[in-house]
Amino acid sequence: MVRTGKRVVITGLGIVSANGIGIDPFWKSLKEGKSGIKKVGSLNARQFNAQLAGEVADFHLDQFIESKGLRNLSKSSCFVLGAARMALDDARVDRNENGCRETGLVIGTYWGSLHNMCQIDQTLITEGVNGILPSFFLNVLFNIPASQGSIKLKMTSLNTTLSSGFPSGLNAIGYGYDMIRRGRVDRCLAGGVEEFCIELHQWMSILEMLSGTRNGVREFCAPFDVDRNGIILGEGGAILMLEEYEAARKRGARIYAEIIGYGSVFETCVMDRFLPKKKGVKRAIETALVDAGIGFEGIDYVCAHANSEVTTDKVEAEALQDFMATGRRDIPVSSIKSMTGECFGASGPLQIATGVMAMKEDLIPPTVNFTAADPGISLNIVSDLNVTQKVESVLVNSFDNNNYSSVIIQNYSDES
Amino acid sequence: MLRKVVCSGLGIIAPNGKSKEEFWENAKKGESGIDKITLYDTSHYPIQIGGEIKNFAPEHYFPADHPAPDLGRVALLSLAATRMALEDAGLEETDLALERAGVTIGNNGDMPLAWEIRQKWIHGELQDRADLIWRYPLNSISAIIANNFSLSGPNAVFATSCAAGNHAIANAYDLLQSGTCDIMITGGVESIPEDLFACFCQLRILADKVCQPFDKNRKGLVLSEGTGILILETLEHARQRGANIYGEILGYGMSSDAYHLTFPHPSGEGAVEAMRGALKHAGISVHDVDYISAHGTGTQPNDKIETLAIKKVFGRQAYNLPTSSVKSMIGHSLGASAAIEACVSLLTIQDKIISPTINYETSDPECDLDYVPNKCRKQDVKTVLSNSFGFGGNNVSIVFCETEQ
Repeated sequence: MVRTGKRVVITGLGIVSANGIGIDPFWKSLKEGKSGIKKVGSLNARQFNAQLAGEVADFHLDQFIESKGLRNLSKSSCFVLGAARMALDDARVDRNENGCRETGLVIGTYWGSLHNMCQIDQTLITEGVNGILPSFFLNVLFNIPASQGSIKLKMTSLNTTLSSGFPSGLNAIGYGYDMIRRGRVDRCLAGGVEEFCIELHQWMSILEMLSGTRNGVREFCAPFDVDRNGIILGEGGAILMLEEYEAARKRGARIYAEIIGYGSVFETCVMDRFLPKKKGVKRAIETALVDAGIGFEGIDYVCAHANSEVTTDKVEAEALQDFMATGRRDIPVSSIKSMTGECFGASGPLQIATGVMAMKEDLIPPTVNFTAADPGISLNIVSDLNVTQKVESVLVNSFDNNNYSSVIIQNYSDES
Repeated sequence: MLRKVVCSGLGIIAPNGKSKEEFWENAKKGESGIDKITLYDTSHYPIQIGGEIKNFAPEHYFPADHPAPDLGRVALLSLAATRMALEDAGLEETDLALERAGVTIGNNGDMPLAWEIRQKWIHGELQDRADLIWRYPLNSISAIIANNFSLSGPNAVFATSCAAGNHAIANAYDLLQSGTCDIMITGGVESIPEDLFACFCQLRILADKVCQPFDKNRKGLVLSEGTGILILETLEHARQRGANIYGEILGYGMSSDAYHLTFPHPSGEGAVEAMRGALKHAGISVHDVDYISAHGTGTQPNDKIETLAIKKVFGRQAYNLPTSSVKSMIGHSLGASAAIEACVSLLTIQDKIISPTINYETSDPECDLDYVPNKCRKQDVKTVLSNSFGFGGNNVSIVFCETEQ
């Protein structure tokens, strides 16, 4: 299959993250190796061994959206509204005329508003049905962040919410990419959102997924490192403005990058077991490369999925090493999750934004906490600051324990 | 080259029928599946009715050598319907071990299981059932279907509340039309746990006795559970294997109201945009449509605005266009409703019989179309427009039509 249809470019970026609000603060933190992972203030220290998370701080939605009607919004809705507003502004879409109306919105999410749902159930159990506030309930439904986006930003084009494992956000971008290249819409905001909450932290503790769960190990997020021992949870919202190339040119938009390849597959497995398979990761990469019409040697930087989980990182490394076995073996690889934590639905879009900036500045962001590679991992894992080299194409990887695997390849564009 | 997309198999489990055949027979007869809720005690709630799958016995849907897995109600409903749809399409499981077969499902999370998990957590018992945690995320149902039938193509859940089924079907159509996949299992599934039911009670949009779409005295919607699964494939793929074809998907339209979480836009803008978009994408005119499968929830605002929007799109033609709501018989199964209505659209094209809007007693001056009241009607239906308009203002309309032989 060769690439068909229209060209799709990225013209705006909106970021709400533990590493900064807005693309510039976010990117500055990453390239300086500054982590957003900190001790969670509200955690009971005696109850859990794991104490760290990448929580969004100093985010005030009323700086982005008129403050009316924001009271009952879930954290997901706030992140989406903030990130969407920033992406629209960054893309310099006309707020008046029909700029926003003609823009679609696609959001990927994985856990939804877990904390608010737990609150509703707690209320129902202790106070009965009359304790439930209708406006609070409506805001916990999975599609409400995207719906609030359309309502508050007056966007009447397509609007959808999807979920497909950890790559939910990357697949939302893939959905937008497909919609534009097939000519269904000219312009679409796409990205992902996820909330950190104490409940999720506890659930992941129960599953022993979190770093530091076991006694005597260091609690840190160290993708590909020999001492990695689990994930650290993060949160945030990341939304991109995707546009049809000619339409973007016509309105004189600044073009950050072009999406040239997308692959999304599922690998059947035994449910409830954390066993990602190399086969699925490789199929997703292969599908995206074929879609892009390039070989793996055409990739200048891999913005990895690696989240410091023991099996996951090894599977990803082995998949990448298979592709590098016959060509360039030194393609730089790094994982921003060392600084953001695992943000599930928001992770893929954060990685895409990272890729855009890496191409813009010809700079590879570091994998912090990486000191010694796990035996068997022989990748060029970038851990130093200020690693500059020409970056014209980036491969973003996202996969999970249920064997959802997705890949997006983007290319630099210096047109404006 | 864009491929044509057809439907070759249907699987339905609804409150008025636990198979495609039983459901459709009852739908044509105007049999309601709405009754007193039995899955949980509703005596302390203002509403006691809903649409339940009474006596759902999963083992009936699974062969002896492949028994029903130990999963929750939503997963079992979707697996049972998928089995029936595959059988209806004449597909063996071995035909499906394909990388070019995917799954897109409309579902707002496995809500009964999620409620169970959260209760366990609240009561400090989740530690004992940690295995359930990975089934909590929103995409769990489509993962379960793909794992059960070894489908390793694209896989996603669409969670756009009441329009979710149509978003899932539209995405499956795109993946087939563009050549990414050869076969898609798509549709929707939903079941209503007690906490969600309680929340809906608080919204005060539930009817207390019957669901009466478009009737002057309609009092609200009735929540229900159910599933509709469609096997979609490219026309070429279906012809090659000599499959029975129900009909073709001609196109879809999507929009967002950008107005309010629960109220439709007062001028029907979003609904108009979705219907016009669907007709345009399908390349047909208003005169080509023979029947509208309405969203028709039975709430005062929805039915009034849907009627207004149909008149805006179809003009005078609207009055000659039968428009009925199957929700009058089976209630509103949220993420499954559009999928079941897609099945209704295709069965209407196949049988040339339009199922009625039941419980229709008093005409409403603001709802003055032909709603096929109370009795089914024989009519040569070739093209159907199926509407779904969700909470949050997510709208999707799909055009189905007869396949040329």
